[in-house]
Amino acid sequence: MHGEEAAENLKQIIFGGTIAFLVLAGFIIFFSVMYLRRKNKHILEKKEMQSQYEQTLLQTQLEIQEQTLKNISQEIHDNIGQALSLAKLNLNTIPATNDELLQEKIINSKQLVSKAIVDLRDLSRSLDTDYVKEMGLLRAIEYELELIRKTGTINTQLIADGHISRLDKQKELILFRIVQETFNNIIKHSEAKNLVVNITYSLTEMTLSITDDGKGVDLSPLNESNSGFGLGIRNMHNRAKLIGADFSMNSSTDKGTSVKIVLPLQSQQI
Amino acid sequence: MENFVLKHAKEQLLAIYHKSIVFQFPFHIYFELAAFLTSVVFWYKIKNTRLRWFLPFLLLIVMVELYGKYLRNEHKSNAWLYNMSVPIEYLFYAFIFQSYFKTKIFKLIGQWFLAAFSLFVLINIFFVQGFWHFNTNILKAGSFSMILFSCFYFAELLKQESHIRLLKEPMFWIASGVFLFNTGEFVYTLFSDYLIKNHLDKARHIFSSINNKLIWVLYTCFIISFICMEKRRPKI
Repeated sequence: MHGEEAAENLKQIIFGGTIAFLVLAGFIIFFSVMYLRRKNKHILEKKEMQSQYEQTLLQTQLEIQEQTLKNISQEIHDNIGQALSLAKLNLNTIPATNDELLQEKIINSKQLVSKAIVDLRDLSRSLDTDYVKEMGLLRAIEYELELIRKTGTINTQLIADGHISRLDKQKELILFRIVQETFNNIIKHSEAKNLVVNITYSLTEMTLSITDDGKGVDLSPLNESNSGFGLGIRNMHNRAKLIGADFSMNSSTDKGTSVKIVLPLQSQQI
Repeated sequence: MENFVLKHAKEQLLAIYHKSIVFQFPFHIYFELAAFLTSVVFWYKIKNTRLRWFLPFLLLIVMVELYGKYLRNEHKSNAWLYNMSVPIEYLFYAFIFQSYFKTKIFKLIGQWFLAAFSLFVLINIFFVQGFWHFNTNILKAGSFSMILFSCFYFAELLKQESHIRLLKEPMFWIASGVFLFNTGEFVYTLFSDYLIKNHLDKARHIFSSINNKLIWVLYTCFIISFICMEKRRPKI
């Protein structure tokens, strides 16, 4: 009888101990879950703040850049442009001479100064933020393509599709700067013969693609996060991110490069 | 007369019901079987991860349980069967844990455990407790080690600095299951030698009632881990 009682007691100790251990284990798991949830929340908040900080920094950089470009544009228009115009005027007022060589030099100089004035005016327009904002994205891109075409090395084409509408001015400016950067890359590195810009507007998004038939570029180093490669491309990507657009780039050797920007048209805010 | 017939028919039906194949197996086997089937169904998710080893492991567990049940029904000892399968279970969990550990010292402990525990099992079987009696020493050492490994895993988890979706993390569920199972079993294993020596749990009712319910918890956690996990790219 005493043995049975002891056995029963032991049984109760085992069951009680098991339950106590299980409760303890359950508490440890519960504590871990709660702690990690709080930690996750903190990590997300930190990430959000970091992202906001980066966006603000980028936006400030862009504003400073735009201001600088505007100043340069004004400087070109007001000072250098004026000086060249005066030089041209002076050249025009030089009395005619019998010296053919001198006369030819004057004519050549007039042509060179005229070309410089036109080129500088184009450059001034390209750089001027207000002018781009006024013209609108489509017209500004058309204008840039016209300038490229004038160089005589690359054939250009602009295809616009869908219901064309004006976007937020700030967004248009950022998109235009991305397009400009892409054009610069094509002119400098691609050795392309043809350049096509395709803009498609739908109800929900605007898709802008720039395609060339140049020598292409190896994009694989871009996947290495710490690589210094492709600073310009990363910059374009960051700019697109700033306006909530998706930036992608495809390229293969000897098959050209294509850049695609998809901007959702729902939220028009930066 | 009519009552007698009805009563008789009812008794007959109940007898058939109890003898039917479904109820011949203890309930916990269905959890093990369900875990195995879940691993088969979600093979597409686990095939490129370390969890792919769960499929053959769970198949082995189901087969061991079925054969163990068969031996019990035949009134033959099945201790030798569990003396083989229980160490495999512990070694398997230890292998999974150590492959998940990121901290060098934890990984090293896990790797040393695999070698040391294998040696301990062999020594215990051949020189200490024998092959034909249930090896409680293995149970004690194994349970304690699994609690320790689960704690290592939770410690690593709490130290982690990146954002993780805990409920979608299969190893979290596996570690929780292993932790609860072994913590629950630990008290019994502490007293197991005393109980066996004094014939206080001869029919192993205490062990079964604790162990079987803990099996529900363990294999439910495995099932959740397979279902909840997100499909990943190859890791190893």
